[in-house]
Parts: sequence; structure tokens; C-alpha cells
Amino acid sequence: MKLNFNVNGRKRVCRVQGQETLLEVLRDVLDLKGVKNGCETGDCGTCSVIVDGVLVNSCLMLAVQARGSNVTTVEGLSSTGRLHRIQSAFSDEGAVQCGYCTPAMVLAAKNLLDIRRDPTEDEIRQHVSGILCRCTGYNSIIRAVKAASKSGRKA
Amino acid sequence: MKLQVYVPGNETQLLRFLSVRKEKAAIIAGGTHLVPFIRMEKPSFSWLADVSHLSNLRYVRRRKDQWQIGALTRICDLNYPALTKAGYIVYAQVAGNFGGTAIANMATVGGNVAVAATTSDLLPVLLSVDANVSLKSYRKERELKIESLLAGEGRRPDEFIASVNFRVPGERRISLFRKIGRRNASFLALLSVAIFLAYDRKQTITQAGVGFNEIKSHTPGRARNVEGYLQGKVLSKSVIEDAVDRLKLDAPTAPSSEVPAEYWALASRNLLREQLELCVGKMRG
Repeated sequence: MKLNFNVNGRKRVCRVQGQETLLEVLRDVLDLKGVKNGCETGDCGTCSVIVDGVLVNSCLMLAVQARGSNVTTVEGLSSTGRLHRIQSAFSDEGAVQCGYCTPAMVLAAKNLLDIRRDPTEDEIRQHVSGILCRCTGYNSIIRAVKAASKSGRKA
Repeated sequence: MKLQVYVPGNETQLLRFLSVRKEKAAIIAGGTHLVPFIRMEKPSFSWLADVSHLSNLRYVRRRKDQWQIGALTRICDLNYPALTKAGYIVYAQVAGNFGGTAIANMATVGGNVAVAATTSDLLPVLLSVDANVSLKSYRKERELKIESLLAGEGRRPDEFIASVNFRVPGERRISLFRKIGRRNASFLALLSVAIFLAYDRKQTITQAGVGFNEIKSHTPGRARNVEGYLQGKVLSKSVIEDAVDRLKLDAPTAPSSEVPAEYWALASRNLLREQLELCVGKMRG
């Protein structure tokens, strides 16, 4: 069936199967490899993307369910070739090690900061809690989100 | 395996579709359970009805002495201030502890009820408030106790869960939820308990509901013996201990692979005691 949707601000039309997930279409059809394939059961959160302003696991969403939606992946954060301020904060705070969870973490941070400009530490921890990181111990990620929040408020 | 997807424009179209396809169709909304199932198992259905866009089924509202929660209400929506204010903090507790943010954003109340898994955080809560499920088919609508639904008097293939509803007894109410699992955040419950108490001015319990994620035959259920004992009592240390002792009458009759009987016996007692003690604090307030 035909799927019409917007991905990173660009209108896309794809042919999809009923059982195909949004994750598969984003990675394999649209070649957006920033969307990571981890567990495919919603446990690890590395496939998280933003659909119509809501953080979702793209492995748990059928592609057809994204019809008419606006989807944002990590590739859509910056169109200027420069890092988005959240990406810069992750880099500055050493919040990236193996990098597998990083795109999802960055998107979760963006989604949170879009809702709340100045979230508490508890809110940050809660918001990223569904994304597993086995390298950083999370603290540097929390620091990065706080730093991005601070720089966003200054901007 | 190829699945056909049907996207109904409204509830009537959905009901008509289900009346024709019956067992050949499954309903998908949040997809948090169904999508992995489709990919890992060989589903017996060949059609999916995608209802995720039917926003008129996404609501939390009060109608006279009843709360109604639409089937497509997302778990994240349960952090609903009016519910909390009415004494049902339990829903906010579920929303705040339900997997990660993305899962809570996607999973629906109807899906949780339909799947009826022991890992569901919502079912103990709905059991504790003695909720009903509203089931709709093309020809009729019926209400069923959620307990009956879980006990096997299930949803028919041409029905869909439209809402869950529960009555609001009295003026004074407490509800609490707690779960334990293998890690601290974003986890599936090994054991969870939800308590609902309505009480009068003298703090005498007029309605008691105690739901566990797993009881007796390894399905979510109510601790009926504890509930019966609490009815008409004022919570005190000795009453709590007696209530906790009665929990053994509601224990699973055989060990499950996930939760050994000894673990259940010990952990469930501690959870129940802890939550009842918290209730005392809140009642005194």
C-alpha cells in the first residue's frame, strides 16, 4: 500500500507492506541509518523517533500508522551542516561512547526540551528512561541535556 | 506472511468490518504488544484494523458518579490531574512507571486490557476499582466486569473494547500502586499491587479493592480474601497484619516460571503491608 508522510520536513511517498514497521521503512527504504535497530521489541529504545511531536519506538509502529505524519529522525535535527545545540552538548559533555543509543537520546532530549524548556533532573531521567545506554552510565547524558536546556534558554 | 491493513473512518465502519472479518482480523492501536507478536509468531489473522487515529476514543471523563476512560487513551494520558484530585493518584503512578516514555506514549488502555498480560501495570489498578469494560459490536453493546473478562468470559471476535468505566464511591478515597521488577526504571513488573480504599468520616473502610498482577491461576486478579477482611475495618497495625495474613488464601496455586511461589509469598506480603501502611498515613493526612 502507498504511504504518504513527511520525514525531516520532506514529503515522502513509499510502497509498504502491512506488517512493515516504521523502523524498517526509515532505515531500509529511506536510508536513514541514524534510526538504530536494537531489540525490535521496544525494550532498548534505540529506534526512537519523533512522530507528530511524540517520542515513539519506530520498531513498534507499523509504517502505515505513520500516514500523514511528520516524522523527525536525528538526520533532521540540523539542515545547515552544523551540529544542533543538543548534539553539541552531547559532544561537549562526553555523553557519546559507542554511539548506538545516541541518536535516540538526542531525539528524546529534543522532544523533552520542546515540551519543557527547563526540565528538572527527574524529568530528564524519566524522559530518557526507556532508552538503554550500556556505556556512559547516563550521568553524562543527563548533564548534556541540562547543558542543552541552558544554552536553549540563552538563545 | 502478508497482512492487509484496513483503516476505518469511524467506529461504525470498524464495527462493520469486525462483523465481517471476525477471527480473521485483529485491532491495532498502540502496537506495543501486537507488532512484536506479528513479527515473532505466525498470526492467525490476515487483517489488521488500524484504529490509532480514532481520536474520539481517546478521553478521560467523569459522567455523574462514574469515570470513563476511552480505549484509545494512551498510558501517558492517565497522568490526568482531575483523576488524581479525585483520589485516583494510582493512574498517575502507573503512567509514571510504565516502561519508557515512548512506550507510555504509544500503549493504550484498550490494548492493555485486551492483552491481559501479568506484566500489565494497568490491570491491577482496574481490578482494584472494580472496573467494567464496555464492549461494542455491530449489533449491540455490553458491559462486563473486568474480572470476568480476565477470568475467561472474553471478548468476542466481532467486538472491540470501547472504554473502561468505574464507579466513584463516597467522598473519601485512597488509591496506590506499586510494582517491583528486575531493575529500577522502565521495567516489566514481576509483582505489582494496586489498592483502592473508600472510607467514611470515622475512617471505617466502606469499599476495599486489592488487585495483583498475578494471583491464583497466574492471571491478574483480586485478593478477595483481603478485600473481604478489610471491609468495615479501621486500618491499624493489627488489622494490617491480619489482612496480610489472609493474602496466603489468594496465593497462586502453582509456581510460575517468572515468579516462584516462595518469592510471591514473601514479596506480595511485604508489598501489601507497605501500601496499607501508606494508606494509614494518607488517611490521617
